[in-house]
Amino acid sequence: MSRSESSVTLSIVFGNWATVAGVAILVAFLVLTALATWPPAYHLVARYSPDTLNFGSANASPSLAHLFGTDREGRDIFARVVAALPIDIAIPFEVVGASVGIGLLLGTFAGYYGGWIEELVLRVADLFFAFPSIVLALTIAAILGASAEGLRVFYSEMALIIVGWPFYTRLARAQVLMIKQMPFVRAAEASGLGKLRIIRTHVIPHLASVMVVYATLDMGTVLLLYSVFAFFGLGASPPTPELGRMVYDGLSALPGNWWWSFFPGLTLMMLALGFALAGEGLRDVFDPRLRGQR
Amino acid sequence: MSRAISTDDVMSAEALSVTYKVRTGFLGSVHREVKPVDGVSLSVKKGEVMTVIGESGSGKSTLGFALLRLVKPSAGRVVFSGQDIGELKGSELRRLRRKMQIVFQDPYSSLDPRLHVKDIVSEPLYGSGMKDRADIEERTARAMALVGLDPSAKSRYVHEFSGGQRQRIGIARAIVGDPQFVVLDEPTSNLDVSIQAQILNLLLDLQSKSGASYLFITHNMAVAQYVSDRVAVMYAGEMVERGASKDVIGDPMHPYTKDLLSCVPTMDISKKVADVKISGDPPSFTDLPKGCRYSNRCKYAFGLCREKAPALASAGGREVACFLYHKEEKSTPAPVR
Repeated sequence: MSRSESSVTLSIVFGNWATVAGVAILVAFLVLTALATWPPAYHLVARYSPDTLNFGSANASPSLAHLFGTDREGRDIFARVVAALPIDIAIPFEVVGASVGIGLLLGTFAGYYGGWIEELVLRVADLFFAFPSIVLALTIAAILGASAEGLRVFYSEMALIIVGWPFYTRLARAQVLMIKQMPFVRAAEASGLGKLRIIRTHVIPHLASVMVVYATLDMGTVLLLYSVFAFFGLGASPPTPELGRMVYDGLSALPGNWWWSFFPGLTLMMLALGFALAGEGLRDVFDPRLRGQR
Repeated sequence: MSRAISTDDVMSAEALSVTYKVRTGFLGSVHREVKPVDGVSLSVKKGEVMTVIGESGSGKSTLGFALLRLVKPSAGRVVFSGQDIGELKGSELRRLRRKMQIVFQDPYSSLDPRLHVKDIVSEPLYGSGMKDRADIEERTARAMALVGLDPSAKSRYVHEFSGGQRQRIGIARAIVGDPQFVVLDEPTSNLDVSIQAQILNLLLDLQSKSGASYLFITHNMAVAQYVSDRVAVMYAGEMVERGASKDVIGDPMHPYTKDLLSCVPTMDISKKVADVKISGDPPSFTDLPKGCRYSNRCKYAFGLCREKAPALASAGGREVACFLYHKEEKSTPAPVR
């Protein structure tokens, strides 16, 4: 990227408070997660271990000693929220990453080659579209994960990928159909480039921006979907902390010990908001209409 | 049109047609075929600039694409420097492509905004299977110099350039592989008038230096007259008149060519251009008039014109597809098409 273009890009990113907020939220969470996962730094973030039981201070409401309060077993909820972050942040990246990868591959080939490849890919994608994704994913995860507690997280991710890829496949195909008609692709054909090389040098780079925007927007959704899984007990086995599960565990204590559910829920909301705002910002960066304004 | 293909033809087409299937009607139940290029034959000699003139929708760009096999012809054959390119396998055709190139109309969308200029310009070299990086870089630099681009442009992106500069990049891409045949698909119609002349002169200069053959596609009579040795006039997918530039433009014979030329405004204010010189609209490809395709708009049309399609035949030192000039056909059946 040339200097002028990157400065334009930066001005679009930072000229919009919502994008700045989204990026700031994500960066804050990532830093927090990195610190919490690195043992020597853990105590800079949280004073207590997420798994230490301390019945003496059970059911404490939020205070300076326990920012988010403590649960029924006296575990510090802030420590548990921090400990849950690595899983809850990694899962959207893994699920969306795999969905985008599959969608990009299938969608690009379907769109560029057309014919029976396209028909086959689209009809299979339609099959998955026919069911409400959350119901389908929960069913798949419940069936797969019923017998294998240790693999439950993995199966839940699989279920989310299974319902996630059709969207990216359709998105990629639609974009490819458009890009294929661009004169620069025709020029590449006139130059004698092979199909694979045209896909690599001309099609994928133009797809990438759109895919990244939708992937970022989707991260928050997947995060919330996974929390629903955890809520229904389809996540990691206890005592591994998970935000969705913590919300569920606190429900029985509402409205009295509201902090059991409230803070994990708030954290989920902030994360989802961060992804959504950052995604919107990326869309502005990649929007060709905004790029033209110079 | 059974003229033998002579050895000094760089590019020739025989009875070339391009057919598109369109679906209309309820749920696409009606299948129809349209032929934007319908049985066109032409040949471009070595070192010649031939211009195809026509209104938008006359099939002139499609003809250019079909000659380069960027669209697949439905009938006919295309012979490029002695080879029937319809018989070539994909990889053989790709290897040949740098010798038959194209400059596109739109200098914006025809250049990938995500590539460096040098990667755009060198594309035909990579496409033809060249591997030697140093050689590719040298040829790319030479092509850029020939079109008047600064060497520093090579690592920049196209959005940093003006329309005229971009078209130079497009031209550099076309000439980088030393092509024998170049299709110029309205290369100046998206440019400012002052830039148009520069680009046209650049093209003519490159053409005379390289001795390549150019097929110039345009709707602009002034441009056609300026650049071409020979002119072919297209109407509704067919050629209606073809001959030396000075004959066809200086003294048009086909009623369509006449009407088309009379629509060109002149700088002479004493000659007012009539408001409507050609009545009616160009025919739709799905609903062509019977007989001559121009018969519904032609002021000279008579009975036969609405019955039979005239073939391109020589008259007045050129070829014209009009019964006004081969009257003997009035009594004999029109050639089977």
